Amino acid sequence: MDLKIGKPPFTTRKVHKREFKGPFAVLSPVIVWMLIFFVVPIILIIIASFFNKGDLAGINYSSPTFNNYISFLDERYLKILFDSLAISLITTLICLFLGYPFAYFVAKTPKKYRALFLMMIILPFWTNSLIRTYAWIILLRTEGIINTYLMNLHIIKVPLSLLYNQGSVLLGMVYTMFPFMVLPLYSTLEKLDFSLLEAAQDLGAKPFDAFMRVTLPLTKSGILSGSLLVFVPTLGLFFIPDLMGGSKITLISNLIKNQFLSSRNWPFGSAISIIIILLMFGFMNLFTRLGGSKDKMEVM
Amino acid sequence: MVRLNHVVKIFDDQDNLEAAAVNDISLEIREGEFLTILGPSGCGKTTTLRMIAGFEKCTNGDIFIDNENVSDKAPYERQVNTVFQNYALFPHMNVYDNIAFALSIKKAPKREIEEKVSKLLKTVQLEGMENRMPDQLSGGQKQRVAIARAVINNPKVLLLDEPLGALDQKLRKQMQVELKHLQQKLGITFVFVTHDQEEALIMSDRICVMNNGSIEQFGTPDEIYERPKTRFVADFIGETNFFEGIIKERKENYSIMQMGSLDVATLNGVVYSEGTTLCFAIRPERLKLKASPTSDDCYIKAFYKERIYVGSVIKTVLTLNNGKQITISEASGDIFDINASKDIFVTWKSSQGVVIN
Amino acid sequence: MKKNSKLSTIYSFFIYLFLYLPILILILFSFNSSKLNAVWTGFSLKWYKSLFTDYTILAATRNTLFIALVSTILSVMIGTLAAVGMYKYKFKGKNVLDGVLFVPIVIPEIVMGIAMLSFFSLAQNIVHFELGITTLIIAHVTFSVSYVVVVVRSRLQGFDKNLEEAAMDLGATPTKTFLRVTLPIITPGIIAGGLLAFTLSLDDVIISFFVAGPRSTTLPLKIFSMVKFGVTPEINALSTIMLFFTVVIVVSMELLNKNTGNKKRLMKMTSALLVFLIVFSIGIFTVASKINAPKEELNVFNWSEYLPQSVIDKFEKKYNIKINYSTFSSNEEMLAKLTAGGTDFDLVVASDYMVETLTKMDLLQTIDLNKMPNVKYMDERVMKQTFDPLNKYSLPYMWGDAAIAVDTSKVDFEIKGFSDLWNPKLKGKIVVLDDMRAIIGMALKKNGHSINDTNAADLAQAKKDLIALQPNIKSYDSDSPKTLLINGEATVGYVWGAEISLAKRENPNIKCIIPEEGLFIQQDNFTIPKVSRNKAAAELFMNFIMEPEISLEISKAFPYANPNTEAWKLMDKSMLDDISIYPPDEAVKNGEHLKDIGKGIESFDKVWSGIK
Repeated sequence: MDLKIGKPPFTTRKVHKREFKGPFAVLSPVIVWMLIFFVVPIILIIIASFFNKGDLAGINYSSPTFNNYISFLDERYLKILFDSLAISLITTLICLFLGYPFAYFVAKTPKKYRALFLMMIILPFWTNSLIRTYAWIILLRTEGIINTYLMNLHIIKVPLSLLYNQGSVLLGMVYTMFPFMVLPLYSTLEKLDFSLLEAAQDLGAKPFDAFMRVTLPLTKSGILSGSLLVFVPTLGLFFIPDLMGGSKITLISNLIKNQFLSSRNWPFGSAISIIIILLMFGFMNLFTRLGGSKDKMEVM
Repeated sequence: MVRLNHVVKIFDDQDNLEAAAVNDISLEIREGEFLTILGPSGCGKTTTLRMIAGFEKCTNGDIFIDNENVSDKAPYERQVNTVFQNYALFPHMNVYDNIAFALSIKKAPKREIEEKVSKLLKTVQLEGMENRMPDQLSGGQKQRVAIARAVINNPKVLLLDEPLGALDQKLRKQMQVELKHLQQKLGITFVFVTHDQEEALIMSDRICVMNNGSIEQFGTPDEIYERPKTRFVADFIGETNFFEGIIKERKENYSIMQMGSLDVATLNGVVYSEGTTLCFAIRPERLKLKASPTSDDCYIKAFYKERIYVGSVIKTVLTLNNGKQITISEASGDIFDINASKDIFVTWKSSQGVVIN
Repeated sequence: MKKNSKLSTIYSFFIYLFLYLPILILILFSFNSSKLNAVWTGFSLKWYKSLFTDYTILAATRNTLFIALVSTILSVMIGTLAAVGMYKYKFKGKNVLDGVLFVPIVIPEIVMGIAMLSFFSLAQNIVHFELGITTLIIAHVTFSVSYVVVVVRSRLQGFDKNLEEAAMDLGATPTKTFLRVTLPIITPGIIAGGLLAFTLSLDDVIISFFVAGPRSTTLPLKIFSMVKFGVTPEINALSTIMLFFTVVIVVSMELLNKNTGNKKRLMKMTSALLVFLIVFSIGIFTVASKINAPKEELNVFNWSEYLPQSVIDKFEKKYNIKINYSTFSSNEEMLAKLTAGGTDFDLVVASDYMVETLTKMDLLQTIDLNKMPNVKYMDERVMKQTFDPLNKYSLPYMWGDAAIAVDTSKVDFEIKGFSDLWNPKLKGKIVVLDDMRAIIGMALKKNGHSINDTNAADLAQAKKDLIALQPNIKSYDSDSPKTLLINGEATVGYVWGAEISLAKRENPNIKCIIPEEGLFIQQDNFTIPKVSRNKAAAELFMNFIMEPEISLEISKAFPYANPNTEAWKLMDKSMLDDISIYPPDEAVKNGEHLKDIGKGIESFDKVWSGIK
């Protein structure tokens, strides 16, 4: 490359760029690992989704086809997809509406107690979700605690059917995912400068207006992060419909699981998974456009 | 001792050469000298320093330390050490370990380390602070740890990147003197970067003034101050008054310079041909106010505007017909009485100014 | 800043209550002396005791801890290097790597699970290995790395770049700089990332579900199967212990978050202590579970609730061969796992039609009847069946039927056959098998067809009928349907006869009705898959099962129809007379066996997914 050196009139000189040694020593482990154990498996299921299931099992690699995707467009599968998205969405909304005031409360707690309150939110977050699900089962069963006490107190004669329905699945989902919504919300609320609210009120805004026009927009990223952190995993949480819905409720996660473990139709299962991934990316795009940030993990 | 030979630095995100951060500078630093690279923000002084340290590679040109070409060597291969602007003390090590770091890397014997560290602690007046952690130190103390850490290895050159920037005024003045004494004591070549020209004048053996990636002037403080070579240097260092105009008349031992349409300066002792464009630079303290000029004075008539009290001196601002301002500086006990006469002349001796190209 | 209002405080109190009440009750009842998790009958530590003598739980705990430790170490190493690299350098493709690392965090875990399963299955073709601890570790590392990178990177945000330059300036090479300056400073972030990875691994259910092998179940998976099968308070005890450890981890994390100088030692000590505890625990569990280290192992794959633990224990003791026992709930599930590969089962129980399928797929080894002298006890009627006329590949185990269970104290009308199940009085009261062929077969039979009918019109009708039946069905359960009959969640069931018999023991109001449309009979047989590497032990086991006393023991626990003639002589007459176990000869003769319907299975598949 030629350089004009010095002050005008310039003298020209040839320049050889001196290079830095590459950063690949530190990055090669992660690149190699993710390539082999993540990228390749995902590619595998993408490929598998374009073939048919073998006669008795496995995959018939003879002719690629769009069959799996087309079969998915069937009414019953679409219904399952719709139900799953609906439950996930409702779960997210419930978590949001229940969680926001709660996160607000913790954010405004004086610093002395805040660590304790926070830890009490984090604890369920770290606890095994199966255990927490099981806890609800023993409460809700026909001969579970709630029913037993209600019966003993003669409030009801016949045990309530609290388990094995869509409601219990929803409850299970909300209970499991609640901390995932609260923590990002708390994270943004904590950074909120409360003097802004005071300024708004000083300028004549009623509390509700101040909330809508100052607090809400400023906590947008927390809302979006929390929603994403709840919405996405709920789609894959097969054990909640399994345990609390009594296998009667089939959601998309159960459908995928069945393809792999019962119906042995791996290509179809792969296709459904790919559809889910694409949907996820779509939602993520939506979220980022609405203003959420990728730094949701500051929560950690 | 340190030689830069046609050094150029272009950063990857700069797309053309006229915007180079450092544009072909060559200079030579003598052994044991206190050199300051002085200039405004963005002039390339820090980049130059970092190239000497090895944190940036020269896009072109070479750097020699003790006649050895170190341009391709990594920072840890050069016998140059740096004192950073924010001190960069290792937060997870105490004072002792920070200072000892360079020696422990070399795996020097424990006794040697102990000896050298205690000696340095004494030199920088931090005895007894070995076990403190950086976050327990004051700015000045951190400063000294940083210096001790950098000199323990007896580097050939010590680079200091605006080390006094974060200190308050009084401490700063104190450190300026201390650093100067330290350098004289240790005998190491210091290359000091700052944008504070007063600091540069106080501490340096020589000053290299940079602007826009190039060297404006390189010389002793006296040379830089009294005989600036470019307008930039004159303007950047201290205060300067500029008298610009065209020679209207040339006599045997004086010239008349027309400044704009209204002002005329009589320059005694200066002889230039008619039509020459001239720019005269002169410091406020070299100007004297008189009711009537003497025959060996250069003079111009001016009009009083205001007086500013600065403690030890008094500055008087006057204006010319064309609105240009002149500042003169007088010692408090010896000021001109502006009410004494109707006309005021700003006078100076021709030897006390400098002609700028 | 205004303080929280009263309303807000009360609201939050209720939220905390909501979060913690179930858990507190769980913990409370772990100390309850009663088996039923509903009424407090007294303080007892017995569940904790039985927990510590349960070999499968000990092994699962050891596995879980070991996997968590190893995967944490690996993902922290890989992830920290990656985070540092991405923080320091700009390079082509950085955005791509960023994206790739981001994906595991945002896709539902189930997708990762199946992707890894597919990958491992494919890899089986190249290198022989088993699904097990290694695959679990690999899977856990893969999803943990992303999280570690995120945590360490956020720590690096505040890192002063000058520090590294200062170190290099003072003579440290890049490696030395990394080890002596960078690493120590970001250590709190690394530890936080490590704790995150550890907990993720410890709690993982979904991904582990797909990549665990028969010998390597993890604690969450164990809890999953325990929750499905029955609800002894052992689970409460186990959960309480896990909760306790979680609290310890969370509290240490909080302590680590404050990392000023003098707390640094506390931090180092805490992490060292944690690591020590983990390694120590692994040691303990390994010792505990390996106390009778048998040299040989036998991998048995059977229906759930089909072979009692006591029989397994007896065999292990007698022959010093360790049994790795895995279960499935349907033939299809068994076939899927078997063909997925990576599992060298030695003994697999398959129903009649499934033996046909397995033979066709060339998945079975021949069995040597001469090695099993006890075969002479087998009832002639069960030998030489159409699906294996020479008993070359299979040996009968048990047979049974599916019949209708009715809690006569709760159902006020007579139930005679399948069509009665559609009675609206039974809304939400029926439990049925989660078995595609059994249920669709039932509908077909109700309409007068064979359970092996593949006619499209007949299937369409069956589908319609079953959809109409949905409101009556409380739950699909092949694992332990008797539970719902015993506890009253369901008052009617279409379940295996043996389940009915067991339910009767606890709830005498339950009666077994032989459906007038006809019985569906299933014979289950032992087979030895080709992948087995221990045929001799398998045959030894089969022979052992056929010992009359053993056979009797099995029948007492799971009262399916026992084909062992010698065992009959030892049985209680009441058992032999129980029609839920031994249906009348007429019914057996008129009963239908499932047949392999080949491609027809796809039509059944379609119907099945349209119903649920």
